[in-house]
Amino acid sequence: MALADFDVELASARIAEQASRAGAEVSARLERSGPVVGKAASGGIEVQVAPGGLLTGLSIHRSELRQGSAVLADRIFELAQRATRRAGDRMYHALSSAVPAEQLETLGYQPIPDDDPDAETYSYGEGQR
Amino acid sequence: MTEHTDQLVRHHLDTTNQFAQKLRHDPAAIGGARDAHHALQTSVGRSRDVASEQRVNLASATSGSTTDRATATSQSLEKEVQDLLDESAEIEKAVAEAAETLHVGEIKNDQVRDQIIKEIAASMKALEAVKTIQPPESRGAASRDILMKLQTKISQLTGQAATFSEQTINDLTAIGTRLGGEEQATSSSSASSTKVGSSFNSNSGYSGGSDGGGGGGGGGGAVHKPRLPVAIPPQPGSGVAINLPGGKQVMAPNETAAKAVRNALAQLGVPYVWGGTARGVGLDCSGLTMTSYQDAGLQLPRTAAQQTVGAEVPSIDQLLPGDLVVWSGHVAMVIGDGQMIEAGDPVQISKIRTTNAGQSFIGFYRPTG
Repeated sequence: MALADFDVELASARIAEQASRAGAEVSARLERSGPVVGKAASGGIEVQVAPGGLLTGLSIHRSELRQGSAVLADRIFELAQRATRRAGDRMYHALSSAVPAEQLETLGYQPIPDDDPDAETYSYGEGQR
Repeated sequence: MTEHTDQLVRHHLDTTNQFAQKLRHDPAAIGGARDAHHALQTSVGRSRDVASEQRVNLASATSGSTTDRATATSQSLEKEVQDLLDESAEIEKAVAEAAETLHVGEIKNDQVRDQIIKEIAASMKALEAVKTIQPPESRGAASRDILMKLQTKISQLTGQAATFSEQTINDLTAIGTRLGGEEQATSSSSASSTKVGSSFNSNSGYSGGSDGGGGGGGGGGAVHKPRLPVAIPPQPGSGVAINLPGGKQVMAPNETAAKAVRNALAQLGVPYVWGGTARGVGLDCSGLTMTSYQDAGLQLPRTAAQQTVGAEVPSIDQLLPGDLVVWSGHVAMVIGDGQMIEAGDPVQISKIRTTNAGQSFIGFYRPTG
């Protein structure tokens, strides 16, 4: 009988309500902290990405141009990956109270352990793996 | 936002809801039937006791061959009443078992539905959170990831629901078959022994009239019509021509489509089984279209709403054999001459339409492009 009484409208209203509450919580938190970005730098190269890895900033000091283009490309690539992980770490901490862990994993937002070379606390700006 | 959620919930719960409809029953009514049955049993039992008492009285009070005959008839009648009581207990047990099976099926379906709702709720929360990501360009990929994961999860859950549904129906069928088999044995044995007034048997389909008939009688005497494949005209082995059951010959746009239609026609009369993809045994709507195209060499997605592939056919008068008519939770295949084939119960031919009870029409599609 419980099945016959199932109310789709109520279920979806409840879901919508939960979702908007989660959204409100997250946006309130991000309003205080500012938009989440991931940054990584090494030598004269600085990379900034949005959560998920979209490149939002890149600066290369002239001195870095002396190395070969392949080395430069590799370093930018590595820094972009590190920045992406850092953005994911920050998003994880910003969202973990409002969004289920499994969803964070789907989004690739995972915490970085303190002893990980990519952690911001770990030789920030100087990481050479 | 609310409207969007509503659609998502409706769409994804479609499957479990359909299943729930199938399992929908009235526990009070089943309980009532059982109680009534029990009362009947008690009263029949009482008659037997009275008859036996009378017989003993008769035997002790009188003697002679007439008395012996009467005693023998009475004994035999008593035995039949006992058979009836045994059978009756069997039916009662089966009813209780069937009620329990349905109940378990319901609970399992309920659990799957709860899980689906949980998945949707979690995804909606994540989607809301994604809206806060800056810059907006990076939200698309994240949202897509969430929705794709949700899709996968729900397909799995829906598959589970289908498995449970099939299992419940199989269990119910098994209970019914067992009961039917035993009834048959009882009714043929009673047919060969004591003659009871013919009106007793008058409403039982096959067995009425001949005493050896027996088979298929019993329980309410419904005429049992076997479910067999439906005869269709011979088909060409290759090419684009299709011979329709009505006698017309139509042409498909290509050989794959023609094969798919011929494959689908070969399934006419196959029973509807929810989540079924077993050709000749049991199919659901998308199972029919998917397997028919599969055997023609083209793989279609599993569910109805996903079978919107190939090319869209803009209007009903441009439909050709092999095209699919897709609803949010149903799909049918055009066979030509204004007709389509669909897995109702059983697989059948109907006129092309765009309405389907309670579902939204998505469009016409030609999988072969």
